Amino acid sequence: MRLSPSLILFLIIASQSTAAPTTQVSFEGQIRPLLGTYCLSCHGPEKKKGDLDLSPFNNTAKVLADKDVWYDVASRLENHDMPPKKGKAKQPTDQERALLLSWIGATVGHDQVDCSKIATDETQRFYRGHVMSRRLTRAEYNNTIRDLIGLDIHPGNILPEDGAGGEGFDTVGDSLFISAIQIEKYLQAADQVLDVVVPDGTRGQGEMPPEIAEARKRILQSLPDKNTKPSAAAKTNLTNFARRAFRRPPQPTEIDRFVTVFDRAQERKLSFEASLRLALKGILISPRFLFLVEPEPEKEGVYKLGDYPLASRLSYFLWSSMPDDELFKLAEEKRLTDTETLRQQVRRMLKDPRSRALGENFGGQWLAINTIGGASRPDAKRFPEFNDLLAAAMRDEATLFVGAVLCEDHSLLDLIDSDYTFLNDRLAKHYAIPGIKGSEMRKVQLPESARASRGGLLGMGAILTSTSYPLRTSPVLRGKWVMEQILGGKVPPPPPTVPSLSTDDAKINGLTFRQRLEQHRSQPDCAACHQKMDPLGFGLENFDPVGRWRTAVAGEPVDAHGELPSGEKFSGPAELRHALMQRRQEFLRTFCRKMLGYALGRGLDRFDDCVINDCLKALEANDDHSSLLFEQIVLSVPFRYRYSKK
Amino acid sequence: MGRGNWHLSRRTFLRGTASAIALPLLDAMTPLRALAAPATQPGFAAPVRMAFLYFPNGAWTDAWVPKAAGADYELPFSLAPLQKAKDDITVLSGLDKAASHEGDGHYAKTANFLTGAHVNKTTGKDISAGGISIDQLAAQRNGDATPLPSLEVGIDPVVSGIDSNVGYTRLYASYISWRGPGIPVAREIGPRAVFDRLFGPKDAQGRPTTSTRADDRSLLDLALEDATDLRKKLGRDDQLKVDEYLEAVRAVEKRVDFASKARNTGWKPSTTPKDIARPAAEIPHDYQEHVRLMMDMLVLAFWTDSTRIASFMFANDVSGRNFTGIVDGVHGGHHHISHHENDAAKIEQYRLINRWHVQQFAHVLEKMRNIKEGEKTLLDNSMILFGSSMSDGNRHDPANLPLILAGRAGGALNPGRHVASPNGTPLCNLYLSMLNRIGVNVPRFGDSTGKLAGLEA
Repeated sequence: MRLSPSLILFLIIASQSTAAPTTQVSFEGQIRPLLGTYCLSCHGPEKKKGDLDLSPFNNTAKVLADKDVWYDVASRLENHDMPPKKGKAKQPTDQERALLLSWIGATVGHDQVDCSKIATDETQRFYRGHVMSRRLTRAEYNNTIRDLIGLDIHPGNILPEDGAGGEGFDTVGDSLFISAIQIEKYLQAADQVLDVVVPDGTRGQGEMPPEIAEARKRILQSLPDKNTKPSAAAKTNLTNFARRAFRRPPQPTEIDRFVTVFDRAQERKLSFEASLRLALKGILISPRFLFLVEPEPEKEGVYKLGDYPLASRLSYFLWSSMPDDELFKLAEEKRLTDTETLRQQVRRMLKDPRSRALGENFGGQWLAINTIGGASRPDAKRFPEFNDLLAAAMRDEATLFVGAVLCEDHSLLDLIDSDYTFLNDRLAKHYAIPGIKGSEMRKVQLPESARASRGGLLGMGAILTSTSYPLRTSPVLRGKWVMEQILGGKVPPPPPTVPSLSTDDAKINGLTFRQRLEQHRSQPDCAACHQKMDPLGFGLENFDPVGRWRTAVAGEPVDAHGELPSGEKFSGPAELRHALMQRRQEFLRTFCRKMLGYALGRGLDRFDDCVINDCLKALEANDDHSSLLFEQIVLSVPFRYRYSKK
Repeated sequence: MGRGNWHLSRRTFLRGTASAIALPLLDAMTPLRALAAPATQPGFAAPVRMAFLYFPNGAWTDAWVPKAAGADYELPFSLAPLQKAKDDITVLSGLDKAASHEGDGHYAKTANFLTGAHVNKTTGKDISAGGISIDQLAAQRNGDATPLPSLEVGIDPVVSGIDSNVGYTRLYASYISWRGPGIPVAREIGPRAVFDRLFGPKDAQGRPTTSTRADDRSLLDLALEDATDLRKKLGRDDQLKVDEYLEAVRAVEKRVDFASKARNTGWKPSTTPKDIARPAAEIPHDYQEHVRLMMDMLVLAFWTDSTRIASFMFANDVSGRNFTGIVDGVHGGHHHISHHENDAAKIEQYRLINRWHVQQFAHVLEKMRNIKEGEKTLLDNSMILFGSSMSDGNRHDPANLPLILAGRAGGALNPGRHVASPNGTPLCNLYLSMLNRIGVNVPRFGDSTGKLAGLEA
């Protein structure tokens, strides 16, 4: 099934009362004339632009005989890629575009992918052109050093931030780059690490903190003595270290390189530790450490990932870090690729505190809250209580909450509505929830008095603030956020000439901000999208630009009612949450899609919808418990297989 | 030694709040100029430097483009801060990037600001700004003369996420420098990080750690060997990423080598690193302070001849930075205000924000003009292009770009004028002229149709 068009279709159909019901539309009657008007001048027998000629399609049967073409047409139309905006191409109206899309959807169908063929060469070839042996992200670098050394010192903080791709995550190999700056920082970061565990010169051993002593012991397992030559001791240490740093047993030739570094340093009369330190630094800047290496076999075609690459896929997905000893052991015994073992490992790993990285990395990026407190922060004069500490608490609330839902096997629907959240004193005061003392974030059962406002992501300061302007809320941005992040809809860009709205929410000409926005979106150019987005945002109008509860805006009572194009009405966040619960399927599909994109580190394709459907089925049968989603993804073909093409 | 020496930093979500605000470095050190000896050896001219300063979200053209062309023109509202620099600047109008007329939003305009080519519409696969950017091309051709081939700096961290609204990855809005069509160049956003890049890393006590350079050099060699081996085991797409790694390692090796080589370019900068104070570790919270410090680093890089090519981004494009309190009369976020929707009050704020950026540009020019290089000034020996990739942020209009070129390229340019080119003149014509002025003699760049007329005497 092709996900996004169908969802868009749903949204468009739901909102376009003017679009005729699909059943009454015929290809010859309505569709082909539209193609003639908007497409055939380029995609006809003469020009065949992009090698596409739509003229031979003169009846429905021919359309059905070549469905792939029509999937592509639908996708281009949906994304407003076609007809091109540049040049003289005529643009269809929104209604015409919706009509074309709904007809293609209804005719070609959505369930075209034969999921039984998901592991074949033909389908896997789909994934070519994606970088899979990607470098570690900044967050993964920090976590990996933590687990490799045993010290949480974040040397990767000096690295530049990463961008994102695919479904919107930094785990996408195609969007991870390396410049000279990164190499310089890797050298510096390695020094930061080694300065702590294998420092230059001498230091008072007695005063060494126990965690550092522990870290040293792990690296300096072998020391030279009467029976052990320095070079042999170094080789033992380097082999052990490289095995974990490279996340697989190193080849002897690989180790020899680093032993040579040690030997040369010894020749220069450096001490054992100083010599070893150099070789360790070499390991920490090696591409085998910095990249999640997935070697490809010589033979072209589908292949099953080996135990070690699979261990890394698993650990970087669930922990944003390297595999632990148990995973290494299973890989060594070649047992990890076994389905039952994998299932057990997923359960075990989710219980491990390292899985909280899902909240931090997946959650932070999915919710788009990482820039809170950054350049577009709320206005300091208007909202003096908004400071860095509050911003941090807000962000932590959201990521801890997502982490808890995912790792404690709660229902994914808790994300929409729940009776608990994470607070500290500062944030609780901000939310007017009494009785929370201390700056540590902790899980809090929401009192009944707070349930009208809080519970679920939509009542969280991080999201409400990130989707506001510095001086006022934006029902449009909030509605767009709900549409995109929760319901998986797509909103096309606004037309270039739109009338004005102020940056503030003061009353102008006797109209409240909301009334002006209503007026604004009654324009036909704007209505199609804003009818779908804005009501969702209106439902959150009881939250001010920093997420506090309010009952008045600029002296007028808050109007938090919304009505969706489907006719569904609600008022305030509690009813909005209820309305979203009714759209459970859309939310779960969106969530599965995001998680799969995060796990695979690439944009999704048609065959990935098979996995999403499997995830949805498993969730359906298990009260939406989050662990099922992880299990399905890890056991899926795209997670365990790759296509080789050298 | 005490326990404190086992520096074990704890995770902190936010930057420290108690950071001391560093004095703008160059202001504090201006007296040093008097100590500096005249720089040029007989027979050697100072090198030409080239920088690109990018501000986001476009400009309000009515307050930007002078009414008259030629030498006799008045600076419009947003350009007013340049009054003192009027003889050193060339205001450019009529320039355009044809490739940016397709693609919604900002991304198809920002990423190719310096490539002039087509930005591939993608949320991840096949990321491309269409070609190499002008700064990187110049760095590849001429970068051997300085420790750093080029310097890339900015203010905002790169933003994660994709913009499903328009179908682009957000990282397009974070980069203007591209080493190749598909490889954006990472940039520094901390003043101290830039300083250390220019003058070598320091240890915790602030002592240079240059003694490790020889060791690093051999470790980098090892990494190259390692990566070359690894490359063979990977598939085609993955190999491209290892190639990026290889290229980056080689670039760092070159730098290390440079430090150990005697320089013989005939050019001796009028200041040396030991005269210069290192900026504080904390990135200033105050935006203006941050911008000035980063620009100081850029001027410093040119002054010390650490590099001759640089790019700087005032912010990532689509920046919603709250300008309340930064610019009097502005209330709200930059991107939101740039969508002024033809409302007079918002346009007023939009052009005020534009003027603030111009003001910062004027500060840089002032500093460069005060640095003497023989008979000339650093500004005389430079080409500093300041601009954005849209003429009207409200309509995302990529035509008639707001651009100002400052400096004389060592005497080849004849500023003090408004050069009004016919509408639709390729921006790349300007880039071709600039490349030629810096000694990169390519026949064309991007969609150039020839050199830009009217820049020279």
